[in-house]
Amino acid sequence: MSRVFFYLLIFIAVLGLNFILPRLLPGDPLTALTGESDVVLTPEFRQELQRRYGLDQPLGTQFRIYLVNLARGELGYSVHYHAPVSRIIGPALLWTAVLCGISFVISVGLGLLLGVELAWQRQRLWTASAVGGCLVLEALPGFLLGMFLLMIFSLKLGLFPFFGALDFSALPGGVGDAGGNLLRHLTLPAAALILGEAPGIALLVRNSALKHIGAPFIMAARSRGLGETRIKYRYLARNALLPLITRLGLRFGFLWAGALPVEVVFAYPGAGQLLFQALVKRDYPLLQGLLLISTLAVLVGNALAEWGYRLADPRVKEQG
Amino acid sequence: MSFQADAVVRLKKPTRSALLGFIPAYPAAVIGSLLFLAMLVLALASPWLAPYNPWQYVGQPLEAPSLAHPLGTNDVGQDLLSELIYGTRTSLTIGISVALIGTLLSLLVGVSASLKGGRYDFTLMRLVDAWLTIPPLLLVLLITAFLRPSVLSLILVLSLFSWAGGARILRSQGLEVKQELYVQAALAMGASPAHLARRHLVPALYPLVILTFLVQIRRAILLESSLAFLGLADPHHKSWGVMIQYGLKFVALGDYWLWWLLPPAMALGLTLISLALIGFGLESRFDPTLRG
Repeated sequence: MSRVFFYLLIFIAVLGLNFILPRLLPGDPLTALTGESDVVLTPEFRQELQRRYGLDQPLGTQFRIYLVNLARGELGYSVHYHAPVSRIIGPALLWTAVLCGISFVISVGLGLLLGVELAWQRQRLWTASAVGGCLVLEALPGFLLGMFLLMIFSLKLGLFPFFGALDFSALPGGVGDAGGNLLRHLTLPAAALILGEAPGIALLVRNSALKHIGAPFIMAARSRGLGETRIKYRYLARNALLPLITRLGLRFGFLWAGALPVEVVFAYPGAGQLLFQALVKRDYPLLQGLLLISTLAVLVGNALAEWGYRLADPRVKEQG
Repeated sequence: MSFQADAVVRLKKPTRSALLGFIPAYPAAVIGSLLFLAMLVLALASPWLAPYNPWQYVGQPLEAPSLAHPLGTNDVGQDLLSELIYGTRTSLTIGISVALIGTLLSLLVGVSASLKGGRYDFTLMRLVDAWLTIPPLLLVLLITAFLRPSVLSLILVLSLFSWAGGARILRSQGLEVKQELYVQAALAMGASPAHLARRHLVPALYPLVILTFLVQIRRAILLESSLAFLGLADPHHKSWGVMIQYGLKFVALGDYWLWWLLPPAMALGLTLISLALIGFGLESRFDPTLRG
């Protein structure tokens, strides 16, 4: 329960930051709230907005209005897109969720298998070089990996499309095969995220597996004549998993944040691409809405992971 | 884990000479140090190494590589090789400055929390938890988008988002060091917290401080390049992230990516890798279980 409170506090702090930043800008805060677009606001609309955000009221009242608006699901109005922010960001967040979800599941699976193997077959040449490779990949940000993938597979070899998530021809009612087209567009961005995420997971699993590999319970399992696969996955992997599980929520959050620039590289129509557009157009409400919802997604992911962990390992409760 | 194994892993109090002495023993650390040194030279000597002033329009827009412009020119006719070299300067300046401030903060929080304990420690560690929960990119993006900071204020903003991880590691290792007999003895004889920190904790934490510093340089460079790539860099500064962003705009134009996108991507990649390699050497030196 106290953890829920903790996440709530973080979220309120982020809300506070979101509230205060537009008001720190020089000049009329309305400029920040509506975006510095070339659209000229009519005086009536200006007044309407002034009233809606309570900009003539004291700060405390403004914050209350801000929270009430948020609770109603009003994230502000994007002047550039002529639409409420909440309506624009829906599809973008969905695309990002698809990309991140797929990448995350594959990364965890791959990282886990590789990590256990790296610990199990230590002192072999291939594991030593694989550890080096993981280290190098882990050091690189997803967008850089994406850039290299883009240069090799799209620009040099022409195997994959270099932008978008779906070709026009594959849209509903089109002639193309939508599923295949979707996959072809998804492959490189997902590969970039997986290449950035899986090695870190593999190293984490390897390091904690190495700490257990000489443990009495492994020796005991061996002396009972259990099969290698069984020892590896039922005993070693299971214990090596714990430090990973505690951080899965965090990992997902960082994957989500890392996906933003990756989407820009591939012009993938997710939150990152929309964020980039919002930055170019200085569309502040859209920017805030996107980052706020992303933060919320990260926090909810964390809370869920923690909750799952408590279910999986009752010892956590005692440690608090 | 058996008792003996535990004793081996415990961090030994290092001598000063061990500070960088670990490098020759680890090929990864040697390669990393050489790479990083090369980058440092590029950064320090960029005015002499760069063939042109990267802010001046010295050629036609979008020139292909030639003897005069080894990496061609960008869309407004600035020399790309010079931009690349000056980009090293921006990345390293920001990376090292952020890491200096950030590591100092980590050390301050980590050591004081481990020495003081109690409610002070608890509060600080919850703050660290909170700080680590949200990926820094999300908040830094928000802040820089509104404030459009100069390089100096960007360094401050990034430092604010870089201390937490290091503080937690230093605090937990500080707690271990505090249990050592020589520290307990000093404590029993009435040594002040300041004395304990200066004389015992900080020296014993040295390798971890260096590691924290390396990690923070890497993160800061990464964040700066991501921000620049997303269009949030100080427009007066040459940055690899900006080069990558512009290079990406012209990928449909044929081979431009070869000299516009690839070089800054390689430079950024090599810098990040060099730091990871040095860190790995250091980690293996002080945690033998990781050697495998």
